[in-house]
Amino acid sequence: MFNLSLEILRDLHEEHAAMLALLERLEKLLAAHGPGDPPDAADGDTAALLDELATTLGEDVTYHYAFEETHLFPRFAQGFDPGIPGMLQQEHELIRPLAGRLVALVAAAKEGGFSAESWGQFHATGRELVEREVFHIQKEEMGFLPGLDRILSAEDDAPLRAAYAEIKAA
Amino acid sequence: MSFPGSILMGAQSQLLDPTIPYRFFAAALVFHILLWALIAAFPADIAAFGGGPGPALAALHSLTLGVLAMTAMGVSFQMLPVATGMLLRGATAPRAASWFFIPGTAVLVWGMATGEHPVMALGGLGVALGLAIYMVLVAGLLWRILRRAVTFEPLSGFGLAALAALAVALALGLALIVDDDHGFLHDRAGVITLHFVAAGFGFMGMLALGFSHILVPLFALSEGVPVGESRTVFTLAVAGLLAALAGIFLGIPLLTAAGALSGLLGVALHLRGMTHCLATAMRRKLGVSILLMRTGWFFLVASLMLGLATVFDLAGDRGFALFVFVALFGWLLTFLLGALQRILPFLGAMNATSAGATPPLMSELAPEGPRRAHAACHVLALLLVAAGITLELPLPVRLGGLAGLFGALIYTAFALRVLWLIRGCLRAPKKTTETPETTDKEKP
Repeated sequence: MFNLSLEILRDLHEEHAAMLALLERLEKLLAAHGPGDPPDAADGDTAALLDELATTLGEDVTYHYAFEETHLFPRFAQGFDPGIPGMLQQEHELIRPLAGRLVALVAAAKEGGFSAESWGQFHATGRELVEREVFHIQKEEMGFLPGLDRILSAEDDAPLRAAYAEIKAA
Repeated sequence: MSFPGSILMGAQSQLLDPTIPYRFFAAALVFHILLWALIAAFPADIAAFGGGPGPALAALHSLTLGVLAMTAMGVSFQMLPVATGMLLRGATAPRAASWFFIPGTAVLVWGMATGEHPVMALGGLGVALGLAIYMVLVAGLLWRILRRAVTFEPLSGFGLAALAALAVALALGLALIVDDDHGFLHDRAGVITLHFVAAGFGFMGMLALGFSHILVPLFALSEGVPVGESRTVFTLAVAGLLAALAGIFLGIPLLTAAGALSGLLGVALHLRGMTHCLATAMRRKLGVSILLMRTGWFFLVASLMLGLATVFDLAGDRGFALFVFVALFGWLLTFLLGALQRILPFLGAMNATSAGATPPLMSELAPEGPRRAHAACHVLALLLVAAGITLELPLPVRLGGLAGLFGALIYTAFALRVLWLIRGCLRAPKKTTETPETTDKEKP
């Protein structure tokens, strides 16, 4: 992105890129099927997307968010402006329940497909999630990660990567 | 500041009182409606415009001062502090700039429409005072950035060049107002051309190039333009502007043409950088706003080519009028409207978040439907009015004016909706969010 010097920041950037690509596919599904037009959840592409949503979204709002909140927000608040991590955390708190709701709807759809009602809920939740997550990643990619790249030193890289691995393993 | 998203750094604490930028944006909305209304109401004056007071001059300055400069002031006051992490020295001076500039522009436009010299002079004084405060404030801020910068800073480089050009345009504009009554200028037409080039390509053009370095990568989530490339664009653009102004002043067409060519080279390089930003974007769905910005870039190239043709009398009788229209309406207004379609909701969401409110969704703030309708009306208006000016026919100008007016009303409704929703957010009870030391989140 901006030639991030630390591997941990490049890892986070790659997770953002993967999430944006996934959200773009979700957006396409939502555009192809309006709120009253549920897709076939067993259809190959749709089923694959739903599986990936359940996994990636769940991991993102769990590990990725927890790592940022625990290890990066406090450092950023100290090094720059405490307002930015506060704003990003506020967004985490808005996105987390949306992701939870969407993952639950995916699980239900994997069991018995989408009903008109459950698809309507999935559609509304998915749209809101896409918008909030994209806006959030926009801020992190353009301001937060490049800012961290200036605050953190090369010696911080290994401990932070170890801490992230520990969170993922927990 | 050396990455585009540093506009987000310190955004919480650096955001100015929202009433200051929004008063400029609100005034710009009114002038945007007024300019198209004037075009629709007085198509014969527009189609045959060759200078002098009247509705055409009033419409032109509704655009340049009322929309372009007005928005530039609002955006500068709001975005420069958050982009640079440097505060303006208090909020009183930006407020004072608005007290002089907004009514001053209204009075000047009225004076230009009616041809009443004292009214024009009074309005010109208000505009000059407002712009002088703006120049001092923004130049001070940009100068501080330049002094601490270790590499070329596009925003401060282009910004300072823009302010220098604004000072020239302002001085020439005041001279033209005085000349309108006292007739002391030997070459009024030459001074008008100098005033137009300094204001359009110098002030607004340089600002547009500078802000593009931040806004395009920010919205597209892409890499910024490499510093070396920005520096070359800057050098070519400034050299082009200086050569063009000198050529017009000294009456040397070849020098003016060299300036236009240098500008074209700079623009080509700038557009290559912008295209690279968009090609490497992580976010490709940018909606109709990027289409408007691309349309603006097309007209930027077209305007420079028209300018070049005008220097050698190859553009016909209506060439200069068309050149002015393509540069100001086709390039600057179109680019500005495209950028504002994204800036307004973005700033709104930032303001709402900084107030601790739940930020509204972008799609709630800026629904795609009205934005598309506005863009379609705007492009239709451009084509019709350009045809009317070229053929000196009032009918296409009137139809274009009506299309533009309809588009401006849609745009105003869109912008007011953003302001209304943000106002609601700012009044909502504040939430507090603390940065945690530890978290223990459960998987959904």
